[in-house]
Amino acid sequence: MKSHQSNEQLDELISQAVSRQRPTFDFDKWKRKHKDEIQVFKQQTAGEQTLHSPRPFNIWRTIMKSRITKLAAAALIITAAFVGVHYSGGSIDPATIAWADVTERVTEVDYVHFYYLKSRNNRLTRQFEGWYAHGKMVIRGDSGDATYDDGQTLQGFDGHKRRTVKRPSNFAEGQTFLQWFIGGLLSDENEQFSQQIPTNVGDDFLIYKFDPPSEDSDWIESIFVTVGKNSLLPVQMKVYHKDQDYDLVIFDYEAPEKPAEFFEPPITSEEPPHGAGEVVLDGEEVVIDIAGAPGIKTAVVRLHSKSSDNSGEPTFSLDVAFIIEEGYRSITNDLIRLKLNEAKKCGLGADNWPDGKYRNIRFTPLLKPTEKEDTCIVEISCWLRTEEDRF
Amino acid sequence: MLVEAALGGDLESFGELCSGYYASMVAIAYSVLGDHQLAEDAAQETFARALGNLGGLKNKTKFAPWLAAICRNVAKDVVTNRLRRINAEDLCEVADSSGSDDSIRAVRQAIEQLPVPAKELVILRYYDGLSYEEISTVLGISRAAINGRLTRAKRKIAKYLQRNGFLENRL
Repeated sequence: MKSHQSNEQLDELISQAVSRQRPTFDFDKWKRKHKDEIQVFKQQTAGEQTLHSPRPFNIWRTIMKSRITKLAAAALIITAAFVGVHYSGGSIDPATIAWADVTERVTEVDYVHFYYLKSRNNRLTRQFEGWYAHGKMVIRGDSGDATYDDGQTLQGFDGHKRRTVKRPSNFAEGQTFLQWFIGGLLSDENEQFSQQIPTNVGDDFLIYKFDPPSEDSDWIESIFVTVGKNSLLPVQMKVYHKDQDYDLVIFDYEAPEKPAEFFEPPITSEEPPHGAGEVVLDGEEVVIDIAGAPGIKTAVVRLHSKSSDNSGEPTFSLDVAFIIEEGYRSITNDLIRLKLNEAKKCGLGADNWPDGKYRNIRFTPLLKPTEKEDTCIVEISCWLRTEEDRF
Repeated sequence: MLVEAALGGDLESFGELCSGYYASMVAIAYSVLGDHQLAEDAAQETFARALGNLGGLKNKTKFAPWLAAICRNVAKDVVTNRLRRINAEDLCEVADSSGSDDSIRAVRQAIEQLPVPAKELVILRYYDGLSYEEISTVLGISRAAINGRLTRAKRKIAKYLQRNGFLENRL
């Protein structure tokens, strides 16, 4: 959905702007530099030294050795295993169940299968299928692209299995799959949402309708979430845009669970690129013949501005333009920053072609090192989308 | 437990605390100073001050927020003492010197426009990739609150970028 995609784009930009490798602390070196403070500290605490354990103990080991807490933990596991029978529909008036109860319920879910569909101009234009299990998620798009989140790192791959996104996992900080989807749209912190009660109560479902947060009211009309009346689990979420478009997510908790290896991201590219050529740092433009990408004849690339990021890895600027079958040259995308062996999802063109037609070129450049320090092989995979492909 | 042991005079426990919170403190200092080396120096000075004032820690469960408060003060002192206030222009110089493009420069400017707490949160999250859990411990606020504040901060960054033509999609 738009919010999610923009969020990823923004995350990447912010990371590029400020990220660096996590610094490590050398306590021995620090002690050598701060002998005076240490001396004072030792004098201050000399009388208390024997009152406290000199080493910390493992609190989890202690807790789990207790028989009572072992039983409590077992009960917790059994409770969590009974997904789907949370609310029996007895004494609680379903019309009073707040959205916060639903989001709380979702924290107990360990496995869900889902479909994510985009409708544009009354046509389903993109489909994704996803699986979340035990803190890991895989989402596969209908154009072969895929996103893998292993709980530590989120990685996106294009249809050629080239990695195009890499950033910290959304699950590392304890987000649920629902929060992952919703992004900032229905923040738990906002009481307007957390206190929301169903607008419709049916025999089997509760329907929550949300007005968009003010920041998103320019493009979102409303958000509907359908929740199982007994399970309190969301089964469908629909985000209506102002322009009649919508995004639909369908959640399914009964699909067979996938094996662990299913959640492992691909390691290498499986398909050859549409074109490749040698580029020299700060050299001339290089024209690369493109094959197997209908509508695109050549790519024109230039490599320049080598620098190091905070981790010391070299980063390059790559300017890319394309010449299409009609002979037109696209505008140049000159905002591409690439690390070696790390592909990036890019795009250019839209309504700015000489004949006024809509054309959008999606492409994935990848730089590979050579034996020469300032010479690289650039591989390009590309796809041309026209007006017909747009909706 | 580490805090309790450190309060009891165990220097190695204090060292473990320092190791655990070093990245957070460097990020907090960086949000004030905008300079990696100065931020690391400030984080180390923070630990020195903390060690000398450990007896002043009122609530053992709030060690990290207490440390963060010291760190902010240390960083502000560095600014005052060295007259090195890093503003948007300085950040852009950093960007230029590292060969960054215009969009990176714009993002840094956008972050600089944020209110101080929001800027600190963004730096904590993206500077060296601290988890919500780590940020929650350091700032003493819930993960839900972090999520909400971070979302709002990112919206402000996005709007700044959109106004300046660097981000086409809406957030």
